[in-house]
Amino acid sequence: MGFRYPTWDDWERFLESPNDIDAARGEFFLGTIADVLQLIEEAKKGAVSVSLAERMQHIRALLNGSLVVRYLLRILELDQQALLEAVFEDPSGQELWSEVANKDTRPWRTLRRLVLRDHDNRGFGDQPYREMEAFFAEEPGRNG
Amino acid sequence: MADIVLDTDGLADFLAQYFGPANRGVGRFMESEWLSHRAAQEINRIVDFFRLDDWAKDHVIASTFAFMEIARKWDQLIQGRFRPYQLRALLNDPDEWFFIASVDTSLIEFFYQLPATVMMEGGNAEKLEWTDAVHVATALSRNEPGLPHCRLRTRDTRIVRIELVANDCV
Repeated sequence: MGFRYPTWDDWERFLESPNDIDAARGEFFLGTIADVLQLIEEAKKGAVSVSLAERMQHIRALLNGSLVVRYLLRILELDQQALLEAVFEDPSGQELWSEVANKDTRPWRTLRRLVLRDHDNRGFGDQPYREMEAFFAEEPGRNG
Repeated sequence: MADIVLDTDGLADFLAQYFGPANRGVGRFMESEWLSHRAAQEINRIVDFFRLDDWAKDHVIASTFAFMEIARKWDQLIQGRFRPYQLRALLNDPDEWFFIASVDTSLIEFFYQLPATVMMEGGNAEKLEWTDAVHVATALSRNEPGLPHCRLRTRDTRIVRIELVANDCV
């Protein structure tokens, strides 16, 4: 089973129809907590057309909706184990992972890299990570 | 009695002492550049309670996000005071009085409650960075009705102006 990293258009579709499993179009999506926080932050800053209250209403509905409940959309979080497994170059812990030990990388991107990093214990492969990198490389303005 | 959440700078100083003179809580935590006297006292109290009382339930808390920020700005924040492998050992097996809080969907409602801008003393509005809001949301998520509020160690001049946590910053 392959996972895709959702684009902003995908998120808009999910927020609009959180119970419409057809909105996933037969695919499985792997989003991140950074995506959800950024959706809220952009509404807070007035950077999108919907109000903050409306955006929150949609997010609450999404988190309880069929897409999430039926695992068509998973939202990866950064817990202790995920951090431990992702923040070092290798299990010895001698060095930090070079993709996150960089102050010039925006925190949104670093958070996404940590939660999407592929390794043995995760089992979703490196496709979502690669898609995320490619997506934000094309969208520098989204501060991804 | 209450938990204390450390922001990124507070965590950096805490870890430098933890791996240095405070010797993983066997010694005392002291006031330093990013750790106030009151924060050090709170940390020592929590560690002492865990040593003396099986029922102790307050924790020193840092978000995984604060660890992420330390990784991003390692040289600037850590300045050679400890090594990554020591950090790995802590993340792998933290002391029972130290809790590593997740960045997860439980933070969303608290993150939402925080303002986009904060009114400063001089009357000018300053933007609250989302990175700072994560620490505040973590502290707010630890509050329980009828119990003292979680403390938040920060020196950020905007965070201390947020009404929801202004009285809890140490």
